Amino acid sequence: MTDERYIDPQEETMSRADIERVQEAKLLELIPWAYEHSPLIRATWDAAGVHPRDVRSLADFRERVPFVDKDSIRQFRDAHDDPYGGTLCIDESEISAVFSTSGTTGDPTLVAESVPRGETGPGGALRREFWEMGVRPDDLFAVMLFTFRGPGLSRIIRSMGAAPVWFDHHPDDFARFFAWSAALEPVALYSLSGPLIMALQYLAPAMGVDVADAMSCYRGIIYAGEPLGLRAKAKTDEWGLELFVHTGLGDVGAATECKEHDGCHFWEDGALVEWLDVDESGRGELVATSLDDRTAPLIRYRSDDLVRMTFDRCACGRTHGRFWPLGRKGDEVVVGGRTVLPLDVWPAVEAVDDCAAGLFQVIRSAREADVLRLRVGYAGSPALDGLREEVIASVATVVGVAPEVELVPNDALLRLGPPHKIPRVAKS
Amino acid sequence: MSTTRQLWGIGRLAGDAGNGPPYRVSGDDVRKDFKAAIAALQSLGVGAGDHVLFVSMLSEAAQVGPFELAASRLGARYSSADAQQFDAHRTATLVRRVRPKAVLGVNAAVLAGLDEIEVDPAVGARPDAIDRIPGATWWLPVGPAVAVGCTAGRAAGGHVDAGEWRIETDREGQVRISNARPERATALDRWPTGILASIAAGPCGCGRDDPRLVVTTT
Repeated sequence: MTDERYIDPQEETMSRADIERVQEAKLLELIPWAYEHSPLIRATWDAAGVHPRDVRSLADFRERVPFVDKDSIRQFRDAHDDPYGGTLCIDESEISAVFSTSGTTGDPTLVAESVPRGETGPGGALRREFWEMGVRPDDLFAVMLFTFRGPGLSRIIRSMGAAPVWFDHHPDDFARFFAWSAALEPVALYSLSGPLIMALQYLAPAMGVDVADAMSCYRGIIYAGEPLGLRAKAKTDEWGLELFVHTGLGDVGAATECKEHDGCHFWEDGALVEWLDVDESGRGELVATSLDDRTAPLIRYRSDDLVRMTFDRCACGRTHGRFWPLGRKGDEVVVGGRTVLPLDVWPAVEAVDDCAAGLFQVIRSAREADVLRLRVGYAGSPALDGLREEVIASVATVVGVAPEVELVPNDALLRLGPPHKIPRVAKS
Repeated sequence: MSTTRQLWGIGRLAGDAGNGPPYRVSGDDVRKDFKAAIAALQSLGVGAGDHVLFVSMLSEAAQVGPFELAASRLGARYSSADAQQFDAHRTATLVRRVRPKAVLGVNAAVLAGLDEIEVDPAVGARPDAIDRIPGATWWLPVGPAVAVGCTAGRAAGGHVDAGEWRIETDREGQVRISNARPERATALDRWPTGILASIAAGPCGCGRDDPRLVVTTT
């Protein structure tokens, strides 16, 4: 390791031609393996009349290979009583652990892991982000998370010569977090979320804690769970915290901002990422293929995530692609011909002081609706009639659609989700 | 004192009410704890091909991590769910989909979020839940360690690894725990665990002779 900007300089700054060479080589090794071992991939390809011998280049791949998505995995899971949805490519006896997604909107998806002893396992490229955030050997790294993500993050931290300090992703652990941040001075934190920022804002003063002072040891903080609202961003800026937005890469990995904060980097030497069905506004769906995963690889996985994307070199010098998350395709509501995503509503809701936490749900019984229906959280005990009118006016101004608004206390919405996020769309 | 590079991680001592010292664990500590964890899992019938579900909080990673490694060493798989009500659905999903041999660490918060209590797997329950799960045995966090029940049943108490820990009770009946060897990354001397229990010595019905904590009041 050097003290340069990159921990893996060659990989992080390779030319586009080299990236594609690496991708093609890995892909052509992966495809026969996945077709041979993954019941879902084989069934999907057979149904599409495609065989691995038909794919000899990236161009063939893009032209011929059929997609899979979360629904096809769930359908395979239920039809075959297969907890891994037909994605597993190894014998169950080779699985060391089974982790799961957050399951905010349904049953958590199970993720099998097989990590040979002494190896870092999936997500090893995260060390590139952690290095960018300022993590160096001998540092301590605060991990404020859940157990269901597994120990991979701690393995990656140790692989850098640093050590994890574990906290619960819950306000109940704030006292210890503040005390140990002061005593141990970790340099990085994984992760803050919108609800935790809100809790810090309200609970820290009551605890006699100045957040800016208490968290001054952190060189970088991963922000994950949901998009970062303008209010939360302003508050963390005021505290002097540098947040690095971190989001999923279509269930095959993660993408994280660098210090330029100009989109989330994804590592194309580990994933083949496509940006499909891009509309005139620049929204397209992220489709991902894992290149290094031999346990349960996803091939041409339609993520349902709408993003803006670029493959241009970043100002940080890294050559891999970046994207800006915009929302989920399945969350779109079309009202009077206008497409609305939760992220469009967000700034309008949090602009209202009593709703500054930005807690709301879009009520979506179908993709097309006559009226935009919102359930919006508020703090304290405001006059509800006046507040409702204020929210309606704000949304109408920002989104261009006047909504129907149901007001509920913030706590009622926070109870619906895991501590780091809430379901942003509800059927009723 | 271990250097950062020797550390496996820093967690929390169970029962510290948020104000205890950082619980530093070295890689060497984990290798020692892992051996006792293997014995504990074996005594619950866990072996190759089985699945174990750990219900815990990330702040308990220093205590739970060795059990995860032990499960892998036994050829079993493991999963994790948070010991919080919001995450009870994960425990339910995993019990339904992977059919674990043992579910360890269940607490009252998780029970509050479950429609029903699955009794097929061996359940290791915390003190606030054990009375509500028929047939459950102990999963009793005790400062830096976990006292784990066995096939001898709930009345036999939870085993504490005598190779690493020395346990005793004070005048109030509170369990205090100390390092059995000085080399551990965190030095503990009669750490007050907040647990009221008696200590059973001598061979257990399960065949092990580690001391057991027998909790009479939950």
